Amino acid sequence: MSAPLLELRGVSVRYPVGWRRRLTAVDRIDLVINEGETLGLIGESGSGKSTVARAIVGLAPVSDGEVLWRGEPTSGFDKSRRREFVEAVQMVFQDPHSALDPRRTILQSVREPLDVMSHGAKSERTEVALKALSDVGLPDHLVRRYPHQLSGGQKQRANIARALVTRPKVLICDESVAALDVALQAEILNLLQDLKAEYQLTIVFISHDLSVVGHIADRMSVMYLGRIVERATTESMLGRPLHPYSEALLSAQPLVSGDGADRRIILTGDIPSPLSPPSGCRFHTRCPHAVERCTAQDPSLLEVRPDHQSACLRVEELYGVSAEGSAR
Amino acid sequence: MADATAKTVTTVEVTTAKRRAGRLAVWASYAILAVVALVVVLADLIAPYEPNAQDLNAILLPISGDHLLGTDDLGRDVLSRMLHGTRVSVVAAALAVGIAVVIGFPLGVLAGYSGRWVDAVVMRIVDAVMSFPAIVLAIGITATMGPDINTAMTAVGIVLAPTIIRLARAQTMAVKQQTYIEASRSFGARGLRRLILPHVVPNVIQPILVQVAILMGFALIAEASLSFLQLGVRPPTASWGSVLSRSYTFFDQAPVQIFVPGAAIALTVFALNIVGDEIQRLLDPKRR
Amino acid sequence: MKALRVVATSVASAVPTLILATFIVFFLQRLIPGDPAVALAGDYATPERLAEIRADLGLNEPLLQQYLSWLGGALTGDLGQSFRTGQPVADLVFERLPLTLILTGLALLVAVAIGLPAGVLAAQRAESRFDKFLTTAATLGIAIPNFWLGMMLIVVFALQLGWLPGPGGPSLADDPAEAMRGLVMPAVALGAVGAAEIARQVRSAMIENLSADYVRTHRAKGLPSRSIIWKHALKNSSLPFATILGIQVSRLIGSAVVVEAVFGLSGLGSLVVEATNQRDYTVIQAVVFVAAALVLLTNLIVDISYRILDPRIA
Ligand SMILES: Nc1ncnc2c1ncn2[C@@H]1O[C@H](COP(=O)(O)OP(=O)(O)OP(=O)(O)O)[C@@H](O)[C@H]1O
Ligand SMILES: [Mg+2]
Repeated sequence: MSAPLLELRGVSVRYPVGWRRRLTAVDRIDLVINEGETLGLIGESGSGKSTVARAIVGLAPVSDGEVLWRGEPTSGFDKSRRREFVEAVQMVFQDPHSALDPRRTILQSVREPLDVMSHGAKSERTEVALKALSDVGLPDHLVRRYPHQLSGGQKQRANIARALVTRPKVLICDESVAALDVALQAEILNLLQDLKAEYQLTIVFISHDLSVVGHIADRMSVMYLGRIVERATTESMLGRPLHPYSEALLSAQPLVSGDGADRRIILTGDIPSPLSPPSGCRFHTRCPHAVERCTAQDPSLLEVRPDHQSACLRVEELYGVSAEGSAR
Repeated sequence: MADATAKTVTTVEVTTAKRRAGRLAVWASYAILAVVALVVVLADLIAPYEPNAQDLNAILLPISGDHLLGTDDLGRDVLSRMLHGTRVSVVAAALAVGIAVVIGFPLGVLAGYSGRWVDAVVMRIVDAVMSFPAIVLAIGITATMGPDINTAMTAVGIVLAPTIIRLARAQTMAVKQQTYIEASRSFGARGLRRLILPHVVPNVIQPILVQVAILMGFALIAEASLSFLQLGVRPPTASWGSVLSRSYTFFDQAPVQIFVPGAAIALTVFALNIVGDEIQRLLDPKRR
Repeated sequence: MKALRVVATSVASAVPTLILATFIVFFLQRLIPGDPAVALAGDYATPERLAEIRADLGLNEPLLQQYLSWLGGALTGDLGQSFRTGQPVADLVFERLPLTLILTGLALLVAVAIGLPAGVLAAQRAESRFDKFLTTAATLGIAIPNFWLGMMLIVVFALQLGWLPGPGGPSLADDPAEAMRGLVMPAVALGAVGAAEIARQVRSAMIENLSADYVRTHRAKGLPSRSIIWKHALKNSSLPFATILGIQVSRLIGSAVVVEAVFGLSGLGSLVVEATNQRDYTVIQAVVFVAAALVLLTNLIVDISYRILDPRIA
């Protein structure tokens, strides 16, 4: 079997904060992204989703572990490999409103990746940018406008176009619909599906909204406080989540939850600070099923059903499934 | 939610009310600045006399048809001196502000962009310069180096630079947090050519423009002060400050002559401040 | 005990700025065109005399050494000798300092007495016609060069009306009462412009506080709006007000230098003007130094009051 397209192995991201303190935004996570799939990454605000995305594209400092591209560590890339990688993995940023420079036209912004990488002649770059803009469905007469003259949905289309001009293999969409109203959300999701087919994209779709991810993802990973707590195919995850945190996220979604409806878990309180994460299972402070053991032992992500991994110490008692040997 | 709506409504009302009431001052200010600009360009053409031509048979003449603002103690036509002085004063003030921007803008952007120790060092220097009363430090520098208008205005530029540094730094720090900077970094944009010049500078420069208008006002007053103390333009050159200074030596004989240059300064500085506020209002993104 | 610690922290955090500021003052010497020894002894001095002066001034020593010995002197009140008269500069400065301090103090009084209530009233009736008028008047006030305002006051009140003494009155030591009368116009000239600045700054600080959430909460609870304004917004404006005062002191000291020259008052301003005419570099340097020291002292007081007023900072 060949190596996956993109892989994270034990990646941690730590930020220095204040004097000699460090905040672990992402804590030794593993992630596999196969060619052609759509991977959903979900979790509450502050769980570290954007940081994972930023670590992949090299915007966040990777303190431990490796990001691998087609099986090779990206940290060892020379200049030309690095450039190939940057072209191949593009990101659509979380806030469509501030992701475009207010002093540049849409066309200038969309063309910028090509300008920075000095791709071909100037006129060709403009061609490519215009093509991308028409692919995302942005009307021609808007391309020479400034961001403040566009609506939220139009700005988001421009952001997507900018990520497409280098003909990437992987598109990382960070909360690409969160800032939009429901009708626009559906529009952008459909657009992403179309683009996926047209550009043969692999998509990492980040959201705090399970119902949105459920529509688009083949597989999903659930993050909590810098860790991945559950990982499964979308079907398996939505059908039967095997971690109390995923269950809680799911039961907050009236449209999606099926048989979980009788066992609603309401999340109370805020996500703890990643500056001083709870001991043992990080979720124990908010978990309705937490027992003594959960405060002491740090669970690892284990295969509990085919293609379904959970990091819950009580997975057997709560869900009647047992961890057969370790996952990875 | 209801609160947010209420707030928006008041802001809109306030803006329209302000717009109507403040209009007169704004148009008057544009007019004043236009006149000043015209005089700067056309001083030679419109001045009725040579500014330095002495006529000892016509000293300290009162206001008349021949001499609209009278003559000074050397028989020079005060109106002509004021018109030529306008050019000297405005150019001097522009020099000072130009120096302040040339020093302050790059340093401010550098400090805000690099952060850490570069920022710490730059800001300490700013604090140190700002711990001098601006005019006193300018006097100290000019008095030591020798009285001269260019020296004086360079000194004024130096004492004004910290204002620009602070503003450019704060603005740069805000811009640096914006997602579009991160987006550009994500596809490899780094450094002066790809990041600072195309993305940071254009987004930092606007508030600086507002400040430039206000600092021009300060520099005009500084020119007058330094020329009054004999540290600025050297005789016989006319500037607003030197005309005022000269008039003050015979103020008991021709009080009107000290009124005119001071009023010219006050009106111009007033107009610069009003126009500065107006630019700020026009640039406010919330208006769009 | 706590107060002591607060003072110590403030002083400690001011030290780097102080050192840099003294560096700037020291650096002024370097700006003297040509050879300072020649500037001092004149063009016709013998080489021996020049060498003597250089040794005297320590001009042969390394720059850092020169700086340190100058700083050591400055901090112990030895600001060097006058280039011209050989008198200790410190004596000259301290002879003139009281008048400048009194003038600045009076001007600050005028500025606060007019500017503070004006700013509060404008904020209270924000966007009203009264506020409009006041804001425009304040903008005009800021635009007026205060030394020119001083001249106009002289023309009106001394020359035309004869109510107040014009320039050239007696010194404080000779006739205190008459000298104080002579300070009325300069203090008003300085204070009026200061008042305009204070009014503008107080207004915006108050408006910011009036729109703050807690004031709205109080309004919602039905507290009469007057008590809101005076009790809460004003109290919360005390920190910005301390800053505004700090800035004003610096401004006023600077402007006082020029206004003194207009009124022929023998304060620091006239001292620096005289020194300029005589190329008395050590005196110029000393005046700049003392002015900065006054501002730094004010900033220190503002900083300490901040730390006492606002528990979050300390
Ligand atoms: N540059 C940084 N410096 C310090 N801390 C950071 C930095 N960037 C992110 N963090 C912290 O890392 C944690 C994870 O942040 P991240 O933005 O990845 O969360 P997220 O899951 O994307 O949340 P959201 O849904 O709000 O976007 C947060 O606690 C955040 O405060
Ligand atoms: Mg995020």
